[in-house]
Amino acid sequence: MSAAEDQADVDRVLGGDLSGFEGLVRRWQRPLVNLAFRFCQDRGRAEEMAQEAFLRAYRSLGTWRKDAAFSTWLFAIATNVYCSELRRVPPRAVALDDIPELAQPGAAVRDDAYRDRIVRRAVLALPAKYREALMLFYFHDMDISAAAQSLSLPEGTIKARLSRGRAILLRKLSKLLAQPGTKQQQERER
Amino acid sequence: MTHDDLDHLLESHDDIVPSSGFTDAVMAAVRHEALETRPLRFPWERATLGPLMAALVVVGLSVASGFVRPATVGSAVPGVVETGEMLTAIGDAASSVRLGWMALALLLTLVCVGLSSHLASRVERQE
Repeated sequence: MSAAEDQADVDRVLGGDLSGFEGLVRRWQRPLVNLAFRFCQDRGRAEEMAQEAFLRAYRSLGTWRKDAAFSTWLFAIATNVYCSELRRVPPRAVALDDIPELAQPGAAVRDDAYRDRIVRRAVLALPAKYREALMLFYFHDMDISAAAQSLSLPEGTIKARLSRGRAILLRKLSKLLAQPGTKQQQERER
Repeated sequence: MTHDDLDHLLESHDDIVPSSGFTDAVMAAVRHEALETRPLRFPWERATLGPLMAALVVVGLSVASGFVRPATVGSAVPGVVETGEMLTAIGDAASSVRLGWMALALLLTLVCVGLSSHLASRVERQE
């Protein structure tokens, strides 16, 4: 994705040519929808949230200071929209202790897909501040700086929240992942 | 379970593809937004009414105070009166139509317009 293309499209939109925004949407729709999906685990809602993020970006396009990358600015807006939206209407999630698979040590782990689903549920059940830090951290390929910029928080705060969120997850998920026999584990053991 | 295991689990994530109509839906919403927020055309027809009425009032006041009158024999230029005389005439006319009340009414109007604009912008922000 080219920063020059983003810059040119933004200039076109600010000059009154709306078709420039279409280029931005085409380039950034996939990351924005995927980020939204990580927040809510609901495809339809993810697209609605991403659309709202694009609209918000359109409204405040004139405030983008070109000293930061367009993507950084766009992700910060999107993250803000997603966090607000999920605080307004939380995703369907149950408390960690109420997930039966985690509450019963020794419960069977059927397959990788099933285990992944449990992990997603566990992440969604985290308190919002830890959940948001974890999601952004892994979305940005474990880049603390990028996660901090998206959440408009200092890096130190992100590190602290990541540490706490991971500790909670490790404690809860270790029961599940201690179970041998998942395909992923077998592959890694080979 | 280690931090690496957790990283591995959380890093891997299904990549979803936006639906085919997503771009069109976003652009439709953006166009709608652009139409809604397009700046209104300046209402020249209405705006010119104000100065026109003001001019009429000034002319009316001038006539009422006898400001416009035929040139006198002693005047250097026909139809023109002294500046001091003109100001005195306008002052007299203003006091006769209670300028203070008019100023108060204008001030109240400005306060009303300002207050309603402020309230409207607050409601817009909340939405």
